Amino acid sequence: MNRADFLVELGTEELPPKALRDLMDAFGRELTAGLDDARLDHSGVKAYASPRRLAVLVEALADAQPAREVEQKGPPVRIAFDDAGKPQPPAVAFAKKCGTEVGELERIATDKGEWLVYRSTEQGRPAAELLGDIVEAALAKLPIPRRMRWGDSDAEFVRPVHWLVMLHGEDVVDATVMGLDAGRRTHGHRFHAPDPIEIPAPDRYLDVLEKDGYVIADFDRRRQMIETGVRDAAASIDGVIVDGESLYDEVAALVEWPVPLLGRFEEKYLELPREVVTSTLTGHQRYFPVADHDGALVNAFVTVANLESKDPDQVRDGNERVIRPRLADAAFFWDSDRKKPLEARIESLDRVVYQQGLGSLGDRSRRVGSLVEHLAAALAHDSTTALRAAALAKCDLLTGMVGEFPELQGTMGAHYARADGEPAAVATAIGEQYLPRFSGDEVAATTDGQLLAVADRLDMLAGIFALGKRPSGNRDPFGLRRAALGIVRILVERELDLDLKAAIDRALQLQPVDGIDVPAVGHELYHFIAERLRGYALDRDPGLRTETLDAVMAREPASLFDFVRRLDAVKDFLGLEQAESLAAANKRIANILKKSDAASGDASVDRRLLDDEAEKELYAALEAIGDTVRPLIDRHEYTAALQALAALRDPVDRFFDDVMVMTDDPDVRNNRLALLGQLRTLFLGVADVSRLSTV
Amino acid sequence: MAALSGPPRLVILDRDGVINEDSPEYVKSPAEWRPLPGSLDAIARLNAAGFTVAVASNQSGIARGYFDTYALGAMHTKFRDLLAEAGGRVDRIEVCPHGPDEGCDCRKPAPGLLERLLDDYGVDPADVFVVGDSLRDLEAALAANAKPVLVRTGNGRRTEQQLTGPLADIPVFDDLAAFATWLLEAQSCC
Repeated sequence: MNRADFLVELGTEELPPKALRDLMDAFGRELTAGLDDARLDHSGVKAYASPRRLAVLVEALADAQPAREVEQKGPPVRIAFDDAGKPQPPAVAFAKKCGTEVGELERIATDKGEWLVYRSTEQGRPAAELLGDIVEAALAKLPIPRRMRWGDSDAEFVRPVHWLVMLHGEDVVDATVMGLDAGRRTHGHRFHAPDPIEIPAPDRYLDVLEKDGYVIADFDRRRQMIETGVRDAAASIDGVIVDGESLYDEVAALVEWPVPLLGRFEEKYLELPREVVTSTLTGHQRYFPVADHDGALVNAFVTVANLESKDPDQVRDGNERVIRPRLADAAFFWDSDRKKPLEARIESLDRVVYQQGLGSLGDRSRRVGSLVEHLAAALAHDSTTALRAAALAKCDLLTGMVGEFPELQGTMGAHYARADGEPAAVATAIGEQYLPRFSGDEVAATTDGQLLAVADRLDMLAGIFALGKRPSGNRDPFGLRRAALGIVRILVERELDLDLKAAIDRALQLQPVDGIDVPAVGHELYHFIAERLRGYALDRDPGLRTETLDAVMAREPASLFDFVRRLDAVKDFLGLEQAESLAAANKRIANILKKSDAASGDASVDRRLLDDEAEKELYAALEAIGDTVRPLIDRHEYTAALQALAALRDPVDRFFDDVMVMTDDPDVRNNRLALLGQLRTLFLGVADVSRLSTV
Repeated sequence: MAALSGPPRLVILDRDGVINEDSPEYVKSPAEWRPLPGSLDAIARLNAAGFTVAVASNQSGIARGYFDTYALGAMHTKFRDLLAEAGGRVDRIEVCPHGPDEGCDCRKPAPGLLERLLDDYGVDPADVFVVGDSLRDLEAALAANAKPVLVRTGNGRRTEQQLTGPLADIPVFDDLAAFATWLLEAQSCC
């Protein structure tokens, strides 16, 4: 068997930039899986992508499948031969089916008797025969929400495809994929190298494309070139790149031949709020903003052209000319918006529909206000500031600036509130209402901002749940998962010990939807939010076991902050040597109590009925430790509580060794069940540790 | 259905002023890319009759820095999406990104863009109609030995006044829809 590198490249029209990296990774992954399924041995696999191509290079791919031993099972020996050992029709037919003689068949003994088998060596198929189907199947599995068709072809892909390269070693693979015949001809840069280019061998792919094609096909290298080039361009005017991190990936998905250029804009636009300038530069044009070493914006940007212009000044000039009217628009909005205070816009909120069935933005605004009031009362926080912020929070949605730059919602509200002379704390809370905006973003710093942010999200979640439109599967059109995660992060990271269940009920009661089953929908919503806590906790501590989470989740703590305190305590508990045996005991008790269907933890124990030494000892230990543990639980000192409970291991173990719970005497039996019930209740005050049991 | 073998029956269209509204400010974004009335339907009718439709278009806005290749791709995705809704499909879209002073061989009236398409499809240029609204579209068609056609959309009415010499007798239509109707009738009668 020989081995040689294998290259496949699919040439396409401009691929969707946000999906490019995923498409590239998936192509590499699916192709590897396809080769492995087909038993085609290979070494390393590397995927490449540019806006107009997806490619995979497989090192040292075998030119054929390995031969393999196959065993076909035939009829039982007892019907295959007569008593004289002469082959009967079943044997003859089986041999014929296998293309052999009866004499070549072997026998195997099983516990059900002896059977005929035919063992043979199946020659592996050549890779050249298999690769076309493997590539086609891999492309069919790429994550593409909507496929399109083009030209006369029946093929479908995310964008029209125009050429296909498939080389195994120096040879073209004879295959047709998506209606294209494989060849060695690729195309370089759309404009710098419009004529076909031949790839002599897979290992020449990257350098031929780079030297003759003006294409950097390696995504990561291209991204690195962009980052370096953009930073260098900024450094040429002694500047640094700010607020542009997320752009590197996006630009790498947009250009094949990155050429950074420094541009300028008029200095007067630096008087605009910083976020307005950076949004204009990054959002509309994907320009990288530049700041000085103190972090203050300067009137320059770096853009990355996809071609080496003969006249870079013309490209620079064009880019500057494109950004100028955008900045002028922003400056116009900044001036005109401030002529009308936010407060004067409150009334207009009633005329904007928020969501079918959930009223206007005005209705939503008032609901958020009521919720803020509820939350402030629950946390004993003065509500004046948060209430004012809630009343004004949605007004910036009606300004020209937010109409043009939706991502500036909240941010502009804060700027305008300050300009209106609202108290600083009100402006800050308005600015914090949408935090965290994305994974890893900061969380509101002020309590007023936190209350507003939680109320805003709770109202949204409650509204959509009340309408029965909770997300299913991967579909989450309203972004409810992100909203729920936002609540989790605020409550946990800002240590707000809030009764979330009560807040959810209040949020549901405020919805303008008839006949909401508040307890049922509330319970559902609680779990929806708590599920996000599960993911969040696992993110922060990848070593966390699901059983640990389950132990706390079983208690459905009303406060998510309290949830995390309990979680930490259970993690500590797991480090104790007594943990395993106490978890097992709890599980055993839970099972006994479930079966006996009696004695809840409330049933009292009658001391006079205690008779065995072990149960007397357990009772005494419970009495003593219970008195220590209950106040600890009340003070949320769960780690200390579980530490104290750990002392119960020996009496519990002895109890189970010596005492028969399900005795015939019903009084004694019920008394013992009550004893176990009390033990269990004490543990449940922290978590259901029975879930931790591995036995 | 397309013929099972042999070169396709090809029609090459200019883009701005033929398929979509032109703008002196350049068409720079998908939002500014608006189809002319009946143009998408015309392409769909050509497809239905077995024609492969390709596009050849000057886009010097790229050289001028007004938009980038990504914006161009986004415009063409919108074009293809709208066209698919109308039941049509366009195959290759070839674009010249250069400025007028760069001396490239693809910017119309140079024949480079058209020749690239004609070569790739392997068709006889003399069989191919090239539809445009500007003089340079028609001159490029002549230079590539293809058959120029003028439509009166975009710059077409002004261009019509300038038709002289070898262009004096070329077919002229009100818009792409009228051209498609004419071509399909011409097909069906012989």
